[in-house]
Amino acid sequence: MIAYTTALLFLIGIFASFRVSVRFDRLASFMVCLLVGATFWGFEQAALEGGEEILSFMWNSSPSGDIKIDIISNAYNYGLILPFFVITIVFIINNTIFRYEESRNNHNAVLLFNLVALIMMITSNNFVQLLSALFMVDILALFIVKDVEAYRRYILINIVADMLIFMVLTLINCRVDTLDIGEILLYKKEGGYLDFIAVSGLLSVFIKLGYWGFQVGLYGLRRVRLHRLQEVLFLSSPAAAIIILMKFHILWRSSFYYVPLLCVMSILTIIWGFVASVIYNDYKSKIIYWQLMFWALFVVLLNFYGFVWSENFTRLLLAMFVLQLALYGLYFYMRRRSQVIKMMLHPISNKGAAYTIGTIVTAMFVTISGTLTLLYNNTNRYYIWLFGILFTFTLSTTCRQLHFLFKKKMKYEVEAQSQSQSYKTLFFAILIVISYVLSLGLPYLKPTTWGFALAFVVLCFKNPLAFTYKLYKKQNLQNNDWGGHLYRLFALRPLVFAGRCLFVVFDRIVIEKGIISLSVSCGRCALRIFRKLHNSRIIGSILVIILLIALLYASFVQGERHV
Amino acid sequence: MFNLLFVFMMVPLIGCMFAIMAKRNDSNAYFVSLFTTFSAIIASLLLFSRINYIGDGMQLKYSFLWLESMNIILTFGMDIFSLLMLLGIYISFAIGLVGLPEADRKNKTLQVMILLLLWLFTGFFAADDLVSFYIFFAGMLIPLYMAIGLDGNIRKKSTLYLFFLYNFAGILLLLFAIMIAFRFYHGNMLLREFSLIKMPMKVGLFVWGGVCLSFISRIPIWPFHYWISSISSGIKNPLVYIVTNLMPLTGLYGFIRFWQSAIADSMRAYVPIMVAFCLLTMLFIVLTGIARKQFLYKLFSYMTVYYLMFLLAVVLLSSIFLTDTLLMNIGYALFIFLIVNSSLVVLDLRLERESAIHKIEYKGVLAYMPKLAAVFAYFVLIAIGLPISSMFWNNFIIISALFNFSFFIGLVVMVAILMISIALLYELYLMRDLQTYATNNIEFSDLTRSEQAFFISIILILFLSFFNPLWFVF
Repeated sequence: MIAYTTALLFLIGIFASFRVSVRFDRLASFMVCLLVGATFWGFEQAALEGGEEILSFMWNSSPSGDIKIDIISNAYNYGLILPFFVITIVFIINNTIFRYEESRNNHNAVLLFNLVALIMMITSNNFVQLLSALFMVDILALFIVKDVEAYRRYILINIVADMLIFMVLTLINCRVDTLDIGEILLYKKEGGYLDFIAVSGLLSVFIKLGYWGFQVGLYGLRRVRLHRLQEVLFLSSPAAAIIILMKFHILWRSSFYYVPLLCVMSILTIIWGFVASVIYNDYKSKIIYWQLMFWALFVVLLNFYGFVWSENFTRLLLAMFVLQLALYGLYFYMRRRSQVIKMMLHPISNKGAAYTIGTIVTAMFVTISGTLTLLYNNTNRYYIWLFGILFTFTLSTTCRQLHFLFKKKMKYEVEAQSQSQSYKTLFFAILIVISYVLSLGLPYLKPTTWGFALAFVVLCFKNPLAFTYKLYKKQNLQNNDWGGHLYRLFALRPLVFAGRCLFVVFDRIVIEKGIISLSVSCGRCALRIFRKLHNSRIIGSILVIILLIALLYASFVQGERHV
Repeated sequence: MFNLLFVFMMVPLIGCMFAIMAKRNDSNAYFVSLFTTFSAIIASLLLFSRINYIGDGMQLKYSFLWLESMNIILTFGMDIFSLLMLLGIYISFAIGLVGLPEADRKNKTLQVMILLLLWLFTGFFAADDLVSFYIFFAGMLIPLYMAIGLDGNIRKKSTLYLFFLYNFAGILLLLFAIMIAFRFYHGNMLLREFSLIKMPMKVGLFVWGGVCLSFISRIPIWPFHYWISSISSGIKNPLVYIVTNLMPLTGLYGFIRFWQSAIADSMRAYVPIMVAFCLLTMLFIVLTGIARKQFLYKLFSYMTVYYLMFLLAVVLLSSIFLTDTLLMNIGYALFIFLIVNSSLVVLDLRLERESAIHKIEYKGVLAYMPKLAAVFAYFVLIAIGLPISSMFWNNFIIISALFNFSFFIGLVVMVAILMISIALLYELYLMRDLQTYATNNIEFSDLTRSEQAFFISIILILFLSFFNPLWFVF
């Protein structure tokens, strides 16, 4: 059934990629929405029915066996695809409601192709299919971002990650001599370079997730529109990285370095994400770091659960997504201001919208803390709560402008949104429906479920981190691109410097000035000698005699040897 | 008996005759070249349908007695690998011809040289015996040298002479090797029999050393890369650039033909030295490619890295298991590689011309030509090995085989590929930089409708190859 869904999504994607006039753009986008919605309904029905089906056909051959396309439909894959499917649908609906893109329909097509690529990754059973889908996700990210300046670093750093994973898979393939992902554990028996494989694979995942030290790619996306940024953060390289990790952790964890590296990097990312999202004035930067922090926690939690996907992970991911969308609403009603200081000076005039956003954010807080409670119950890892605390502080500093609604009368921003009210209502209605579905089955009786939500509300009014707002005005801090500097200093410049040195030393000095000049000089010298030989001067005769003597001597020595 | 292969081989030569008879300072010769190239493409597609994929060795063979006194029988044949290479070459020539600037289209001598080269390439890939192989291998140098000299716009003439001398030395070495081999075999022989000749160790070393060095003379290996690199980066004519950069393919193909069955015992001990030089060249060329600002130089670095990767695969895997499947994987990757390189060369030289005409910086030049930018970006993405052509999974298999041979070799190859991919991507985004675009409002001549259609069809060929590398064979 997943194969059927994938084919349908692909066909709808092709339908959506046709350019339509501006007049019919929204209608076409609405049609796409309906079609994708119907496909989702079919997908859900099939997931509820259960059962396992495998669609497999041969694509090509290689010395390591046939390259196949596998689409495996089972309960596990249904569960894993579900959050990405929901997120894609909501983005498509949003794209239809708001005037996001010049061509809504084409953007929908990109999102659908991206979903198809993610499904191909999830259901893949061989390296080539997995890699092809992974690379496709990265290529499609360029079409989502659509900003050359913004994606330059993102794509450059992602190509490093892709090549690393490419190298890891080639190495595994060469040892186990099969392209089957199910056989990767054979590599352990073959041995050799297991640590290298684990570290390279993890590095690739860290880069894709924007972990500490590699955040430069995702941070560069702060220039793009918020909805595109959110699409990349949820559906592009981070999602692909999670899938990769789930497929290969079984092999990588045999390395001694796997657990320490994963944990240390995740903790560093959580801390760095917290600090950065608190100190940055730029709303998009805050959201990026906040999301990176979330992905780091997500990886840690998955690791606790042996990377076995469950309903709780789906709920956590979707809750985070709804929270982000609510923040998009906040941004939208603040006339798309990206500076938090400016947002605070001009609170939302539409109180109804503000209250709805506040309620959704709080409800999602309850969902996230409830899910964390469920996850904690099975693992008893106390530092899950540490993350909860950091998360609450971070979000409360980001959403602090909400409390102005209740505090005093401010100079409200003049209503300037051109969208009609019914569309905005639809946006909120979708968020509320998803919030309701996610809230089902939460442990409401546990204090931790409510504790963080209450803390969040309180912190919105009285936040001990309020002093960080002073940092918002420090231009040096806000505008300084530390990651970019380090990236240039440690990655680009050494390479360029080494290349220039080699070019000057070998190409210019050794070859051009040395070998070529020497050969030209030798040629000239030989010409001069022969010219002199032909001259009827004494020096010419002497040279001939010397050469003849040398020839005689050489013949004599050579003859002696042979005797 | 009427032989299809013979007719196929004669197509470029007949075209050349027509081009010679064409009017001077007119585009007649150009259109003859274009027509001949497309005819050769169609003829090669026809040949594909006549060749048995599973069949072993050369097929559609024909031979004739050339010198009776010396018992020299010239034999020609074709297998799927060589035909694929030829098709790649023909498409590259077609791309070069389409991308040729208007002024160069009237250069009759260039067209004649190009058609002559096309014929020599056809003969070279069809040759199945030592003498015909040598004739076509050596014959290529003269029209190539003339094409570069006439229309390459090379500033340093001394480099051109050294380039010629270097290649000429390679030809002489092969000649000596063949002459010595004749002494042991008493006549001409098929290429696959060459590695089976029993020779004393020292003689074998000399013969095989000569053969290897002659092929290496075509490939830019450090420290002899300089002549080729300076010639390549200096050429401003797309067709001449493409032809010059097809030369390493002849060296690579030589290794494939001579070492397909087995690596010579006398050379076995020297293979590690050759590998070390290949790896050293890869890293050297990549680093200098990153440092140099010219896109053409980066492209040259890219080509060198890939040629050397294929060479390593052929040389190393010959000593253990160069299976037919793996050889075909190399062939598929090479086919895409040739087409992509040619397209990038044509597009880049067009960009250079446009930026020179409008006197604007090379940086951001793609922002002025959205159609060309889209095509250019697509080719760069294929070049770096993304899964939009069959090069992606063929590279996967080749690199995997290299890793299987040696972890260190695989690692160096991967590092080189990664670095050159980053260099190409970085350059692409530099060319798409929008900062200068806002200040300059200049009308550039973007791709015309017919050019656009041509490049889209090339893209389609490459994209469909992702699903089946031989999709065009029915």
